[in-house]
Parts: sequence; C-alpha cells; structure tokens
Amino acid sequence: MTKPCRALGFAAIVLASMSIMGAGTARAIADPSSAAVGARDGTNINGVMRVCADPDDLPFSHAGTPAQGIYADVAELVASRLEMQPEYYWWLSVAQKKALRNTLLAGNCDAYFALPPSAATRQISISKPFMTVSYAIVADRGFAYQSLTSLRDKRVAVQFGTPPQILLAQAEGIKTFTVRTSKEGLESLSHGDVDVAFLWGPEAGYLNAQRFNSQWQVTPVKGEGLQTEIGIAVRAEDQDLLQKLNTALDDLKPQIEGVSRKYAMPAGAPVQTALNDSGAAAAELAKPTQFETTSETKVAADDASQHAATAAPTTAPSAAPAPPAPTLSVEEARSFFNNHCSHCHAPNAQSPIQERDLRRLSKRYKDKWRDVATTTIKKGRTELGMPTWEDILTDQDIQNVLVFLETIQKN
Amino acid sequence: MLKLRSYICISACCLTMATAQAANEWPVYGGDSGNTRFSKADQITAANVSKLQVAWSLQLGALRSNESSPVVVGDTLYVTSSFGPKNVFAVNGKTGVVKWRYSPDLPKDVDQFACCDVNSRGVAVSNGKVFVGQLDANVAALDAETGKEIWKTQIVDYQQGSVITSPPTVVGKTIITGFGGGEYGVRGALVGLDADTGKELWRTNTTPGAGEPGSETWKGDSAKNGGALAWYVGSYDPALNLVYYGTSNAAPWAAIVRGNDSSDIGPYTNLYTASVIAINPDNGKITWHYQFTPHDAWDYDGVNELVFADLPIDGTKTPVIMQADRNGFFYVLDRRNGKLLSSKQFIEGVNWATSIDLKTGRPVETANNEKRPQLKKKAVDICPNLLGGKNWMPMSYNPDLQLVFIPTLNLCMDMEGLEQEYKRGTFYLGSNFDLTKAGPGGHLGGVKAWDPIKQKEVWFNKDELPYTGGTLATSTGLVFHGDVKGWFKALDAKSGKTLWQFNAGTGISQAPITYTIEGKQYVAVVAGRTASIPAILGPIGERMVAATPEGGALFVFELPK
Repeated sequence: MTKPCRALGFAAIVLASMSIMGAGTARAIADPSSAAVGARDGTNINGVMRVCADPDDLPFSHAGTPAQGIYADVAELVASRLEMQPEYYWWLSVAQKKALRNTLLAGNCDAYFALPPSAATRQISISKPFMTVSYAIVADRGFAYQSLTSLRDKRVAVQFGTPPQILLAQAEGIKTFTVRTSKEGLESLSHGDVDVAFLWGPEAGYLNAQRFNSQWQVTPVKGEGLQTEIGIAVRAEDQDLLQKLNTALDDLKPQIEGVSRKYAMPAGAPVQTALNDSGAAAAELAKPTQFETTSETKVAADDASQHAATAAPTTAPSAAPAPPAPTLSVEEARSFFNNHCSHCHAPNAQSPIQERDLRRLSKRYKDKWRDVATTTIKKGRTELGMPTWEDILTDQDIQNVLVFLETIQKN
Repeated sequence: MLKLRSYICISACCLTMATAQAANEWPVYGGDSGNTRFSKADQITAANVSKLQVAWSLQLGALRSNESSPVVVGDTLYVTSSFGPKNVFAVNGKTGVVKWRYSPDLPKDVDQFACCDVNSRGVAVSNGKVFVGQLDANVAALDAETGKEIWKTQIVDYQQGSVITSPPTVVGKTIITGFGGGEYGVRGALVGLDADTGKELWRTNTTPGAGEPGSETWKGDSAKNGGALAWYVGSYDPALNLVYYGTSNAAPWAAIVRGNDSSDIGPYTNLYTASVIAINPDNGKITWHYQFTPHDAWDYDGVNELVFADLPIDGTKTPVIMQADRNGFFYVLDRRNGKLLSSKQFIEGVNWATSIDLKTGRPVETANNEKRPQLKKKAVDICPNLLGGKNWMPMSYNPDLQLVFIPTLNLCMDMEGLEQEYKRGTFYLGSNFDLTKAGPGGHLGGVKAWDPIKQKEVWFNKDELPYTGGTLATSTGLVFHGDVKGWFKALDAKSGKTLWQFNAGTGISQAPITYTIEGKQYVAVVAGRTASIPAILGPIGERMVAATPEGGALFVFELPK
C-alpha cells in the first residue's frame, strides 16, 4: 500500500519545486494535484499575500476559516487593496525570535503581523505603523486614573513578566497581585480580589467587551515600555513589498480605525505613567472624553458604518460564516474521500505513515482539528507534498470530507 | 601460545561476569542512581581500544538535537529520538534488531512551546515498565516487552511553556518527574506518580506558598510565579532514602520583582531557585536544600546532574554530592544534610563571584554590582555566560582514580536591564544579552579532569567549539566522549591523551554508555548535533552549524571478534 502513495507524494513535491524554479504558469488541468500545486508556487504569483500570524492570540489573530482578529482584518484590508488574497502560515509567537526564524526568515510567509518599529534588524524591515497598542488601567467606571499616585493603597493586579510589573515593583505603597494572563486579571477584579488591574490594553479591552459586558473602564497609558506603534514586518530585501504595504496602510487609515473599534481596543488619550510623574501633569493629558469609547453599542454602531463587510450586531468579533452543511451520508463521504484523497492518505484514511494518518487529527489538533483540516485541504502544505485543493474542491466538498473524517478519529 | 592466550581470555571474561553484575547493564540514565557514569566493564582497555569498530547502528527517525542516553536492561537497549520523542525504541543490545517502537501522537504545536529545543534525554526502566517524559508534559508508562502504552498522565499544561525532556527518577513504586518552563511565570514542582496506575501521589512546589517557610525570601507575592523548575534528572540514595534534584533560575528575569536589585540581597534569596533540594520520595517533603546562586540574575540554572561519591573529608569517608554548576563553581556537599564541604571555580575566568564562603555557603559576589545585571544597567564580560561553565551534558566520576571528567564551556556574556520582546501581541520582559564572547584563552569548551578532593585540575583537553559532549568513565582507565564536530573519542583517563576516535558525521552532545551482553562489552552513543544552541551564539553558532549537519543515530561499538 505504501509504495504508490510515496511515489505520488514525491511527484507532487517535484512538481512544486519545478514550478517555483520555472515558469509558474504551468497549470496542468488533467491532474488535479498538479493543477493545485501550480496555483501556489512561491511568492511571486499575483493574488496571494502570504501572511504569518499567531494562531491563538485574540484579539490579534486566530486561526480559523476565515481567520479572525485585528491582524487578520488588517491583512484582509491590505491584501484586498493590493488585489491579493491573504494566505496564512500560523506560528505561535510564544518566543518572538524563534517565531521569526521559523516564519518570515524561513520564507514561509512575506508579511509578519505584527512588530514594533524597534524590532527592525538587518534582516527585517517594518512598515509604517498602523496602530498604537499600550498597557491600560482597568477599574470601575468612576475611577479617575491620573498617575501612579492614583494607585496608592490600592490592590493592583499586574501581569507576570510585563513592564507594569517592573514599574510597580519600584513604586511605594502599592500592593500587587501577580496574575499570568489578562483574563486572570479581569477575573480577580471581578471577584473583588483587587481594586484595579494594570493589564495589556488590547486584551483587557477585548475581554471586557466579550466577557464582562464592558463593565469596566479601560484607560490606556503611555510611558517607557508601556506603549508602542506596530507595523507589518517583511524581509529586509523585500523593499517593493514594503512600499506597497506603506501606501496601502496610508490609504486604509479610516478602515483600520474601524478594526480597532470592532475589537474594543482602549481608546482616548493615554495617561502618562512613570515613577516620578506628578498627578497634576498627568491630569492635563487626561481629557474627560477619553473614557467613553468602549461602550458596547458604540463599538457595534461604528463597526457597522465603517467596516460594513464584517459588521455584526454585537461587539463580538464577527463569527466565521457558517460552513455549508454537508450533503453526503457517511458512506458516500467515505467514497468521495477515497476517490480524491486515498492515493496519498490510503483507503479510508488509514495510512501506515504516521504523518499522513488522518485518524490522528483530533489527537494532534484537539478541538481545532476541523479548522486545521479545512485550511490544510484548501491551502495545502506544498513543502510536505500536500497540494492545494481550493480550486478543485468546493467548501461543500470539504465539509463532506470532514463528515467521513469525523467517523474515524482515534481518541 | 595462541591456545593459551584464548584460554586466559575466556577465564577473564567469566571472572568479569561473576564478579561485576553491575557491569552488565546500564539500568538508569546516569549508569547508577548516583549519576556517576562509571562502569566496571573491563574488556575494553587502553591496550585494545584502538581496535573498536561499529557493531551496529540505529537510525532514530528524527533530526535536531538528539540527546538520548540509552538504558540497557537484560539484553534490551532502550533509546529515544528527539521531537516528542518521535520514537522510543527497544532493541536487542547485541544485534540492534528492533523489538518494538513507540511513536506517540503529540500535539502539533509542542515545538512552539519548547523553549530550548525538542529534545528527549531517554527513558527510565523498572519492573517491566518503561517510563518516558514527553514534550506535551505527559509521562507515559509502556510495557517493556511490547511497547504498549499502559498509562499516560498529564503533569502540567505544556501550553504554558512547560515541556518534559528528561526521564523520571524511579524509587520503588514511585515515579518522580519535574518539568520545564518558567517564562510565563510557571512555578516549579516535583511530582510523584504511582508506577502501576500513573496516579499522582504527591506534588511538591519548588517555591514556597504564602506563609510557608522560605516565603520570606521573596518580595511580595513573587514566589507564586518564581520558577525553580526541576527539568533535568534526579539522583537517588537508597541508604538515606533521599531523592535529589537541581532547580532552575528564578523568574522573572528582573530581580527587582523578587527582591533587591543589587548584590546586597538581604532576605531575598528566592528559595528554592538555583538550588539542590533533597526530598523524601515517599511523600515529596523537602528534607534539606542548598542554594548555589541566591537571587539569581544571570540565568544560572542549578539543574546540572548531582553525582555521588564517598570522599575522604578531614580523614573521614563521607557520602557527598558533586556538582559542576553553571555558575562556574564545583561544589562538594554532604549528601546527608546539604552542608557545603568545599567549592572552587572549575573553569578559568569565573568573575561574577570571587569565591563561595564556606561558613555561610553564600557566593561572594564581585564588588559594586560590577558583574550583576541590573534594571537598565548593563554588566559586561560576565563569565561564564548563561550556558554556564558546564551545561546539562553529564560528567562522569572514576572512584578508583577519584577524578571527575567534566565537559566544560568557556563563554562569557554582556547582559543588561530591560529588553522588551513583542510577542503574542504584548510586551514581555527579557534580558538583552550577548552570549557570543569567547572566554579567556580563546578555546570555547573541552573536557577537564578534576580532582574533587583537592578541587584542582589534573588535565584539560581544549575544544575550539563549545558544547563538548558528556563523558563516560570505565574502570580500565578510559574516558569516552563526543564533540560538535562528530568525533567520538576514547581518552586515557590519567593523561587525557586520545587513544581512538571515530567520526559519527553529526555532532554529539550526550554522554556514551557501556554494557555487556553474553560476555561481550559494547559502547553506545547517540549522535545528532544540537540545533538550538547555535541559534543563540551568533558567529560561534555559525561555526557549530558548519561543523556538521543535523542527524539522529545511535552507534554501538565493539572489539573485533
């Protein structure tokens, strides 16, 4: 059983590398796998912007069909401006350098979302910033945050390993309560364990809107290490792409502001925050209007007017459009699978080669396996010999394949 | 004449088998539960080692940082590959014929949570079961005969950056494991599992809870996210019924969160980070501790293996633990109570501290915080760098010669205050470091023979590249080790002279082992160059990568028939 399968896999890889090196126009129609490979052959094909982002990092990005989050929305806007489609390569950004090594620098994508200007190196250029992100003070709506002095004698949740932790470690008279995540910070606020939480603004704003009914006021701060602009990272040699991105970002300012609102990013003038800032100086910066923008209805209304394509009736980030319902019975789906996929994945998906054994999907990808399977079928993994099928199979077909795969998962 | 010689040989072999049962097997990671990596197998000697040849080899099926130390029980050799492990093999130790292979399904994202590469250092074997720690922070028990999974227990959530890369310690029916992590405020722990069921028996946090003894050594509530991960292997003394583990650096990196931002550390030593802890395997209770690097600011993990010896101390034979710490000091501790008996720099150029005060057990840090990185203050030319005077690659101890053979490193660093990494869409704090500085003398590593009684160098083979492989010592006066260039060498233990070498085609990090089956001695070593270490060493890393490609194979050697 394994021999023909290996041979076919090898053929697909050869085809892929040939088309990368060569014409890129060869698009055999008779053989579905080679046609699919031809559609996705490297960086120069018009129509595809290869994007790298973190698969599990809302509100910034989330792998799924379609991709979600601020970065995905901005990528969508920019790509469509450049008459391209974004195509994602997901890599967790748990360690920044490792992530860059395995994504942008390894050639797995051309646009990495996102990095501050300070992250530019000999190898990496950063586009014009498209957004400012910052830490934020989360507290009851009446709490007027003016400087660190406002936190005196308060119990303050602060996130491990972040600049506010260092800042508060140096300040006097503030009782800190260390949390590992923004979610934990908001929960400790909700339970009354703390009076104030000093958290990462985008997460705090998003979670506040998503899970806590926007009950808190989220005030952005600025100061050393507390805020940054962010842009799209590209390889330093891709200066053409960089220019195109810069132009697109300039043109898209109003739409990107809409994305910020959609994800309930903290808004308003940031409050200067540092060890020695007096309350008076900081108060000057704090205009009363700064606290008004996170209300639920406003988020939704702005979203609807400025970002119609993804407008939703609530603040929730637009849910993925429901995939089409499957049309085949399990038995028919099995037969469909065997006709299209079995030459590499073995009849009934029972490949003896571990990497190709589709019975293991749910073990490997847990509750995300359906998303992963859908994306992989559509986009392929040419470096491993898996062709792209999106030009050949419809969403309906893919759902039918999933009907069969569902029945054979080993848990 | 010929006949006579073969007759003598046969009786010598029989004698060996009869007198040295321990010489036959390699039952645990470090050769014995005291991690000495010393074997009494005596067929391979200085006189015949030059004739060593490959008996068989095994492809491990995964590239990238293969660091497995095989275990041999009966005639079966157990070895793992990197990446999960992707494969655990049970093979016939004489022929290399595979008995079974276990290839666990691991979540696809583990690579992205493994801070320091996707390695596996091997298995533990006991009572017909094979125990393997996995990158997804599970420990699995397999049937030693069939490789069939008997149970699997999740120790911690790998998605917080906690992976398991080292085999557990087995004490009777208790399986003890730690785990890695720390960047996200993971609190270290040792966990005891029931060997039959995998059920958790006890869990001992390696930093104190609020109000517990030791909590006064932490500022605010910092202990609950304080690190002290016990991610490497433990040692076990059956006579004292104590299990010993080293613990990692303190978290977060910024010392000011955990205490004072200076060498004047006051009460804030941050127990039990960068320490050895002795625990009772029956209940996990900490019996004693000794801290190598109080209030760490250099990332000097205290995890290196703890090697047992009985040394004459003031005329009395004393059970000791020897450890060559990352911080560049060689420690001799009383194994019964953790009392510091002696300590000395085992590499040149150690400059973060001038000595260890024998009375207090504390390092005497270089004056004026000169070598202590502080918030927004860079300390330059700190030696050793964060990889340490020695990394995890194990040393060995020859009790006949009373010598330790240490794979040393010779690198220095600049380290400074605050570097912000923007990851997962957030600023996190890291230290900004430059690790690419060669230490004094220009060599970057090498094997050093060390007298642990006099605390003195006996010989030193310098290595022009870092990450020299771990060592094996034999009663026949040999030392075996590999290096980044793929050379696997046999040295004369008294002089360090190379007696034989073989190129494995890829770098060797892990120490070799030796065992005897049906009267024949074998030497085995896993080759597969480190991939993550070059990534942080700049131009030095480029030379490591250029030296050999990645690989993944076990080589087994024998004397010609």
